[in-house]
Amino acid sequence: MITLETIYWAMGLLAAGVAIINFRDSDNPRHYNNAAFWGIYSLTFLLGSRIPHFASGCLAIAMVLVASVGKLGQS
Amino acid sequence: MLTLIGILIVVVGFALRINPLLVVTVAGLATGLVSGLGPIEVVSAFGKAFVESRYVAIVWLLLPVIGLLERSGLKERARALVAGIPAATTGRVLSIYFIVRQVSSALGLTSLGGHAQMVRPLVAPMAEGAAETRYGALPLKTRDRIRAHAAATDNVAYFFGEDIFIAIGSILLMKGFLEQNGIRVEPTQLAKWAIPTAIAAFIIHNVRLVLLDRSLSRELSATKDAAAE
Repeated sequence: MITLETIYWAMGLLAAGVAIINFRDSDNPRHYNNAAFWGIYSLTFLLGSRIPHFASGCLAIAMVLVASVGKLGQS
Repeated sequence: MLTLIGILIVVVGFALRINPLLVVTVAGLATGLVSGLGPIEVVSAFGKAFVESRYVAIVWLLLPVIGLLERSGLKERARALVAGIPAATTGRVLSIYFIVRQVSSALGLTSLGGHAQMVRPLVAPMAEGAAETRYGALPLKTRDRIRAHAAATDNVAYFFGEDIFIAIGSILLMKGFLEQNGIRVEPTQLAKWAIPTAIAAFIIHNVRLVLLDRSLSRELSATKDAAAE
C-alpha cells in the first residue's frame, strides 16, 4: 500500500543519492559539507517516524549548522 | 513579554544579513527557552515540527524526471521552438503563458503550471530563447532577470486566476473566515468578484512585460552594438 511513509522513503533515497554523488565529487571543495547536509536530510526522511522527536530535532539543528556555519553549493 | 524575543532576533538577524536559516533556528530555540521549556523539550518540539512538515519537500521528487527530460534536450527543444518564431519576444512569450496559466487556474487546473514542473523546464528556456534569437548570447544578469520574470508571471497568473474557480482552498478559507466574523457570502459571489481583479492583474502584468521587452531591447542592443565595433 502506498502511504505517506512510502513517499518519505522515496525522498530519503533521493536525498541519499544526492549525498553520495556530492561525497564523490572531489572537484568541489565543499563536497563534504554538501554530502553531510543531504545525508542528514535523508536520515530525517528514512528514520524520522521511528526515532524520538529529540533525535530529529538534533538532526535538524545539525543541518542548519552545516548549511550556515559551513557553506553549501559550489565555492 | 520576553517570549517575543524571537521576533527581535529575526529582525536583527535579517537586518545584519546573517544566514536566514540560522537566524530562524536561533529565534525558535530562544523563544522556547525563555517560555520556560527545558533544552531537551525545545529540541524535541523542533524535531516534531520538522518531521511533521517533511511533506513540503515532496515536490522535489519531481526533480529526477525533469533532470532526465533536460538531459534528453527538453530545454534545447523549447528554445529551438521559440527561435523559429520571428515575432516572439520574451515579453510576448510570457504574456501568452500568463493567459494559459490564468485560464487554466480559473478552471481549477492549478497543477498544470508551477515553478518546478513548468517554469524551469519550459517557460524560462522559451523566454530566454526568444531574447537569444534577437540579441545573441545573454549576460548572466539578464538571464537571471528573465528567469525571475518567468517565475513571477507564473505566480501572478496563478494567484489571480485560481479564485475564479469555486472549489479551491482559498475561496473556502475566505468564506470560513468571513463567516466566523458574521459575514455570510456565497462562494459563487466570491468567485464572480474575483474576475475584475483577475482582469486588472492581467493588464498590470502585461504592462510590466511590455516594459521588460523595452528595457531588454535598450540594454542588449547597446551591448550588441558595442560588441560589433
